[in-house]
Formats: sequence, structure tokens, C-alpha cells
Amino acid sequence: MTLFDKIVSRELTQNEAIDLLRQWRENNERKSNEIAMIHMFYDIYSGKISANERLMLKEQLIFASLDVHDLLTEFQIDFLLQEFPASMRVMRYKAMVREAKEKYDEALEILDYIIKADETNAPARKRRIAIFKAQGQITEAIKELVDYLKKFMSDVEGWQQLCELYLSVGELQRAVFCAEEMLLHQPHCHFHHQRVADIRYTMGGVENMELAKSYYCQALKLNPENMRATLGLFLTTTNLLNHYKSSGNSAKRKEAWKLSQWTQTKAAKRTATKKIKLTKMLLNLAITE
Amino acid sequence: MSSFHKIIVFVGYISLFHSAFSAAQHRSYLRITSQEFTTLPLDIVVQAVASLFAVMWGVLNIAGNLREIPAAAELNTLTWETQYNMPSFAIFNHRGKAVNQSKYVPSSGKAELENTEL
Amino acid sequence: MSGTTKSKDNKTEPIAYSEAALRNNAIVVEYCRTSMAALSGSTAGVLGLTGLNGFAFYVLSVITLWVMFMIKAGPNWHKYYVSRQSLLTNGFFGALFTYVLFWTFIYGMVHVY
Repeated sequence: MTLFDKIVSRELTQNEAIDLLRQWRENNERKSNEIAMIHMFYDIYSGKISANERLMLKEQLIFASLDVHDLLTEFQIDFLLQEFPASMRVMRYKAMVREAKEKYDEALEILDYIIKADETNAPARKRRIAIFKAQGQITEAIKELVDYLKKFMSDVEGWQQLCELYLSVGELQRAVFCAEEMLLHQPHCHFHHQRVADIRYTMGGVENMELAKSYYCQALKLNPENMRATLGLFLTTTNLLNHYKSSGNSAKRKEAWKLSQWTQTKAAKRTATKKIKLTKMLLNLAITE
Repeated sequence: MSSFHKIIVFVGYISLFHSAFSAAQHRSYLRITSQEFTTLPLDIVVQAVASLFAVMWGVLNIAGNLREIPAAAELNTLTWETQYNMPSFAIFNHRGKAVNQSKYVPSSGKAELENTEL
Repeated sequence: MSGTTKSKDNKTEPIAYSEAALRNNAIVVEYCRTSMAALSGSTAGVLGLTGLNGFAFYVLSVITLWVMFMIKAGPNWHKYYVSRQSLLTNGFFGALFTYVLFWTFIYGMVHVY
């Protein structure tokens, strides 16, 4: 039974539903349809929740209903406004409603008002950037984001967004810089290592390949289960083997060759039970002597 | 925090108090009958020690969860699906609008593109 | 995600620990140790222990608490504690004072009354 069926047929208890919502909130998951359905079928606010959690649930619901373009979002925000009359946060939600209805100018007006009233309000600035992104003005968005990051340097989400924006316009060099910034902030997260390695591999050239290889190895050291890093390492090493075939660097060639073999066995072990034809693909891609 | 462990702690406390009262009563009995105090009767000792262990075990389980200390342990459970969501930058002009609203009219911006002259 | 990390030199290479998790575990252990000292002090008072017997009982309860920690952590204790020795001997004297406090108080209440 899928989650949808469970919600509709009310097989989940109320506590389970609240736990699910909390889990999605903490894990940063964007399951907007499921959230809207849960709130439709269960009276969540009557459950065992603290006052703080009630407000967080309301925020989660507003975000989800904006995502599914539910027309009742305005009413929910007005309820919040009654509780917190002069709140910047609620005004930001009003701006998000205008944004969802594609009334971008009004939304920008509200956000500018918030920023003028409070210079240190980071989320309002981020919404401005999101509006530019939604309108398709990527260069504007990048400019705004660079300004934002000059003021709020330790915002990992901002760096991640800037990295994605640079990738979408193809400026790989700057994207690598952003990914490395993310790495500086969270050195033990295997994703960041893998991301830097991905971008370096895309950039091409022997130096970048070597760097990509070492970043992939670090990602695998941190998390041996990271399949993307395994495959990335495999592709990088086969690429390096191609390069080293012509010049006579036997030491580096041997190293690349050994790594390539190792990743093949690792990937094969991992997917052996799933009957994916991964080993066949790897064998086809591999360079055999 | 499970209610089972809370019950254990509660029962253990009650039992400890009970053994304290029993010991006090035993003492006053010995004073009344003017006997020497050597040790408490065995059942009070057993009750006190057993309730001590019960409360210790209950408190241990109530105290809170132990978290894994290697730095990578928590980070390794993340998935890319949740990583690429950046909630502060999320945009809403995706196809969810068409899917969920019955009176969806595409914005006029794109229609103008169809009228270009060659 | 966890913030800063801390390294510890091992045989081959350092392991990075998450400081937030270390602090959290230290708080839990400290809480359990203090309540253990209070409870075993009360029990020693109830049992009417005097002199060296009392201190022996304290050592016994410290060892019991250590055993309970190990049981709770299970076979992979190294995922939760940096070293087993420090778990046993850290805070020995701090909790000892709490133990003596409760011991004398409860002894006075129950036996001297």
C-alpha cells in the first residue's frame, strides 16, 4: 500500500502522521502533496504537540500548500497574522503567495520593504533571489546571490545555490569555487567531496582528473556506500588510463589501473544482488590490456 | 523516553521509600526492645538493593539517547534527494499549478512567443 | 548537520569525532552518574552502612553503573564512547561527594530519626 492509500484510508494513526511530518521537516524533504493530504484527512493540531511544534507545523503546511497551489493558503496566513500581527516572517509568507501567483512585482515590493526595515533579515534576501530564479533571470539571481554571500558568508545553502546556478549557466570554474566553499564549511560531508569531484571531472584535463580522483577517494573513505562516488571514480580512472597510454608514466598508469579494478569489484559486489547489468556496463567501458 | 522506563523508575522510587520506612520501623522496634543493631533483616536489604538497580536502569534509559560520535556517522545517512532541496530558495512555478488547479490558464508570456514572425 | 569536529590520533590515522555528539553523550553520562550517586547514597543510608563499608558500596555502585552503560551501548561501544576506562573513572570523586551527602542525610533520617 502506498503512503497515499494509507492516508486516504486512514490506516495511519494520528501519532504516526505527526511523526512522519516531523521526520520530513527534519530531513528537509519536499513531500508537499503528502503533507497537504495528511492535513486534509487528519486533524493534526488536536494531537500531542507542543506550542512550538504547532507553529512549525503551520509553517510546513503553508509551504506545502504553496507548492500544490492550494487556494486556501491566504486564509492560513491570515490566521497566523492574527497571532503575530507585525511579524516579518508572516509578511515573507505573503510575499511567497504573490510569488506563487506569479505576481512578482508585488512580491518584490513586500520583500524590499522587509529588507529596508531589517537589514539583517537573511531569508527575505534569499526569497528575492528565488524570485529572480523563478522569472528565469539567472544572471540577476547570480549577482544578487554573490552580494548576499559577501554579507552572509557562512550560509552553506547559499553557496550550494550559487554552485547550482553557475552550473546551469556553464561557468564550471566558479562552480568549483562554490563547491569548495561548501567543503570548507562541512569537511566531513561526503556529498561535498563528491560534488567537487563531479565538477572537476566535467571540466576535463589531466590535472582536473587527478584532483577529481583524489576527491572521489576521499568521498568513498568517508562513506563507502556512496555509489555515485564509486562510479565517478571508475570513470575518472578509465579517463586517466586513456591519457597515460600515450606518454610513458607507468607509475601513475599502474595506480589508475589498480583503482579502476578496485571500483569495478566494489560496484559489482554492491549490485550483485540487484541483478542490474552494471558489471556488464563497466566491463564495456573499461580499458583492458 | 518510553513510559515503560518511567514506570520502572516510579516503582523503584516507591520501593526505595518503602524499604527506608521498613528500616526506620525496624530500628525503632530494636530500640523499644533494647536490642543491639547489627544488620537489617535480609528482605529489607534485598528490597533496597533491587530497587536501587531498578531505578538506575530506568534513569539510564530515560536520560536520553546516546549519539554516535564519529563525525561521518550522521552525515552518511543523508541522501541526495534531500540534499538538493534548498527550502529557502524553492520556487513555485512548476507544473504543480496545472496539476492541482482545475481552472489553470497558462500565463500569457509563453503565448507571445508563439506569435513570432519568421 | 554536525558542526565542528575533533581528531584523535589512532594507530594509522586520526578519527574525526562530531563535537555535538560527544557533548551530548557527556551530558547523558554526567546526568546518570549524578543520579546514581544520589540514589546509591540513599540506599547506603537505608542499609545503615558505616565507615569503609559505605565507601565499598560506592565503588560497587560505580562499577554497576559502568556495567549498565556497557549493556546499553551493546557490542559497538566504540561508536558511543571514546574510551571505556575514562567512562569508569571520570567524575569518580565528584560523584563521591554527592554520595556522601545523601548517605549521611538518609542515615540520619532513617536510623537516628
